[in-house]
Amino acid sequence: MKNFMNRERIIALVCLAFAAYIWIVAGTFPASFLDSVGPAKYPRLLASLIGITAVILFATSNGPVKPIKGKREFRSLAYILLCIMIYLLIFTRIGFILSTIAFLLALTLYFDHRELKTRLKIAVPYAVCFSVFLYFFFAKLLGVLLPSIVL
Amino acid sequence: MKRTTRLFSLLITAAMLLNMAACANKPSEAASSAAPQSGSAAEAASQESGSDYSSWPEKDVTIIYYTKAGSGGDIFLRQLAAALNGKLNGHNLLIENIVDPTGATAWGKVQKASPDGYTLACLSSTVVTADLIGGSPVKYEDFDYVTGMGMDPQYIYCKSDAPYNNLQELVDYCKTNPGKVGWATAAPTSASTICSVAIINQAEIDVNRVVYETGSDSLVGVLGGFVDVAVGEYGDMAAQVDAGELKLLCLLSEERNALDIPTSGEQGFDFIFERPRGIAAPKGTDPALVKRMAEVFAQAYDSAEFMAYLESVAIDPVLQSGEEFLASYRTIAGTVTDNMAALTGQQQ
Amino acid sequence: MQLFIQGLGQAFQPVSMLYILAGVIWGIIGGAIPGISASVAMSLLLPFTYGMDPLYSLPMLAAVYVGAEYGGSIPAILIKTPGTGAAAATVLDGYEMNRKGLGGKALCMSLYAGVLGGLISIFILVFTVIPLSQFALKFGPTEYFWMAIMGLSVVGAVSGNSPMKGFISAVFGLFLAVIGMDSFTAVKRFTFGINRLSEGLEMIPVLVGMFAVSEVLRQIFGGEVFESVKNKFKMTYPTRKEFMQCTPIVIACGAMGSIVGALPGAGATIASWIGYSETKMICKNTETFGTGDIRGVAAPESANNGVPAGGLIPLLALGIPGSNSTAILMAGFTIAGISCGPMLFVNEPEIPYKLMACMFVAQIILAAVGLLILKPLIKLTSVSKVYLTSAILVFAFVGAFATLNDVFASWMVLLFGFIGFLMKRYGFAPPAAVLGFVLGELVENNMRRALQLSHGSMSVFFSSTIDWVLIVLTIFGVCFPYITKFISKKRAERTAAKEA
Repeated sequence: MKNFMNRERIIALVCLAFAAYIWIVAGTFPASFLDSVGPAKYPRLLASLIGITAVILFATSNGPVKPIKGKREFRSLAYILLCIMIYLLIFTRIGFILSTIAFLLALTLYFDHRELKTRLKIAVPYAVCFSVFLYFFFAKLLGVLLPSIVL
Repeated sequence: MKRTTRLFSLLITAAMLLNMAACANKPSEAASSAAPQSGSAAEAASQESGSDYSSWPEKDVTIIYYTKAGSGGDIFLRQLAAALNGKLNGHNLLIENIVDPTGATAWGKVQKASPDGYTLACLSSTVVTADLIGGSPVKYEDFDYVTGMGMDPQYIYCKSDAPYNNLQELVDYCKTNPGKVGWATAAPTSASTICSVAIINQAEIDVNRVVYETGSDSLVGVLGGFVDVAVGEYGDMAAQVDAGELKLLCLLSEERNALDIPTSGEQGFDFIFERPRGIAAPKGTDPALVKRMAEVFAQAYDSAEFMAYLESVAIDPVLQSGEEFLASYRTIAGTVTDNMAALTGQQQ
Repeated sequence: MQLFIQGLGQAFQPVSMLYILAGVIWGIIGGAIPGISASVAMSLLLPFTYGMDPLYSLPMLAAVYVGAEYGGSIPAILIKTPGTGAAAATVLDGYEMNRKGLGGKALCMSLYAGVLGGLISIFILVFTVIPLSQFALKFGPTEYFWMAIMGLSVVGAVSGNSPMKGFISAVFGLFLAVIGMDSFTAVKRFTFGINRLSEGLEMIPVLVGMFAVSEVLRQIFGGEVFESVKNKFKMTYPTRKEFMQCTPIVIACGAMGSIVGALPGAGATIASWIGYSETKMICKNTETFGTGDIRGVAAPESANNGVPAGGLIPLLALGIPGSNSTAILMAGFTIAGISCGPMLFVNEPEIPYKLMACMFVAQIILAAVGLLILKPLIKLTSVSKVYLTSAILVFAFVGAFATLNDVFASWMVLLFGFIGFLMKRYGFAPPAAVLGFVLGELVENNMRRALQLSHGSMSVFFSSTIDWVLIVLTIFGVCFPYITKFISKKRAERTAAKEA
């Protein structure tokens, strides 16, 4: 019984739940006389395809499942996700150049494992130049409305 | 060597910060038209308090639009900018494209902008349809309408070998052949769909409505013989009409225009769909300023190139005041609400 | 034909070539930036064409289109970020080749396939423009539906180890295409009340997220980014054998690309997937597709480079712009005061043929420019992983921002990056999801439209010859590998029996 729930089966259950979600929400779409199919049938068709496959997956994944190989750097992943979210949040507030410089520095200084002095020597000019280059390229040349400093 | 690199990067950063401070409030001007311009530096404009706006504009005026550069509406604005070159006290008309098919982001930005006459919106009938059908947070009434600058009317068309030649004959044919005629419409919020639905309802005919994504796709459907009739803009079908493949059945408006096609109005259909495009300002703009802006924009009609452009894309040159412009959109709103159920295929 | 030769003579003038060169370079740059597609790059040039002589402005715009379709493959191969939607299929084998250090080979083959495919498509264009345009009109909803299914049938190829999970990934992609307002009934589906989603998900943020950002997250989670070893700069070129192997593929896919380009409802993205999928089905020993097979780069790249010439067909012959890029070209024509359509061939036939000639020249110039930048590009991406990764991320977010001028697009990139990361980790196939997403609208809308036309009768899907051709091709493509395996097994058994 210990082997009943393995990773693959959990994945299959998640897929099944997702399919059920689609099925239920599709039921809320009002029908229409305009076309015989209506807005709900196609999503429900997709949901049933996922659902059936998920059931098959569940049934055929008995027995031991190999663990996923490789390192798991949870901290690094969390760090970068956090950095990205902060970057996108301050992007419109303090402008493109400053936020991009901050973001690039946050990444390169964290992940580069050499000495602090050498890191800074490369990271700072890189961050500044690249950000400025992108700004001029996108905003001036391409006309993209990158936010400048909004005070 | 280390110190100079450090110093260098510090200098660059300082220079950039200064540059950015100077550029604050200046939207990118790479999107402006190719009209040669004395580059206007970002002057902090002093607001004109009081009701004399004869010196407007005192700095660059920004018009925000919701489709990308190169689209029909965008080209219209660039032509407008070219036509007004030199009539804006040496300043530019800048065009910002904030791409959002419902228009909510672009027009929302204008609604929230300060009503000083320097941030304006170019509106199309989408502002009404996205509001009423799409549930957009931008309500079309929440603007101060400045001026309508051209009408994009809709035409009913079909293949040239079809057995009907005008709207009345089409209606008669549909009545004797219920459910047989394939009528192409585009997305539910498009003008062609709204017009089609209104006509179908008013004439009480039973047609087979087939939905396409855009007006261009329904044109292809008609040419390929998959559907019989569609509604669209002249610009889309001009080439085929000239070649004799398509014929125009009817113009959906009251009076005839240069193309001299029978109109729905004269054939007894109480149906007007005026589809102007024009300029609007944030709500709360001083009416005197609105009037001044309308005067300035009207000067575009003095430009021969602008008029030639309008003719080339079959936009009827009709100048409307702010009130007339809003009134046109209200008729669109009326048509939409009258036919809302049929538009979305709900049982009435 | 002689009009074309005449046009060639004019196109090879130095001034004309200069404009075409400018267009090609700008196109490559625009195509290489994710978020700037071919049509955006062209539209950015449009204001400059106002004062220009149409003799030069139109070829320049067409050259941008040509350059952009190649440009999209550059970041696709180097940093797993398709620069244009059509380069998504190139990522599959192109990036794997780059990981093995064969990036130069991939880029070079992409260039070769693109140029040759483009040249083939121009020849097709010159000789068949009018009949092909009439043929394109025969494609109705059922034909588009089957074509989308044909493109989807490659899902097995991109599924990796678990066909079932690959299938779920593809259906998930189809689901993503459902998000938004239903074209038929205006019902908002799965938009969670977010107004920005009511027109559906934008393609570039989803692509960039699922491919590039998910890869970055995977590298970080797997600790790869901490390697401080600098990548050695290695330049590789395709061998003569590889060129010969790929040439028939390129010719076939280039031709197919021009036909797909001629269909108003289909574009470079679909063409590249069909090219990839049909090649995988029909060629021998294609189990290596997806792990760095050079043919997996040649096929989609020649297909998507065949599309611009094909797109000219409905534009010039019918006056119908079949895609965003051809719509910009049409705007260029309007600005120049020329109206496209059947009358163009009657009144001023030298104009369309001259444009075709200029496209021809553009392909040649593309070859030259592409070769020049090959080495510098490889060198550029052999910097330390940390810097490359951070640059990719910024590029991805800014590029997505550029599509909408709204940071919402960048959030989408993050979201799909995370989804793609989870999918890859648990054995699913992000490429299959991308495939489903890209083709989803074609599948659903054409299915419903066909049923509208037929008043609900399913037989409409089997009613025309073109339908049957597509169905047979799809089934054949799916079954072919099994058939060949079966035949070779039987042959082996027979030889073993003889020797016994």
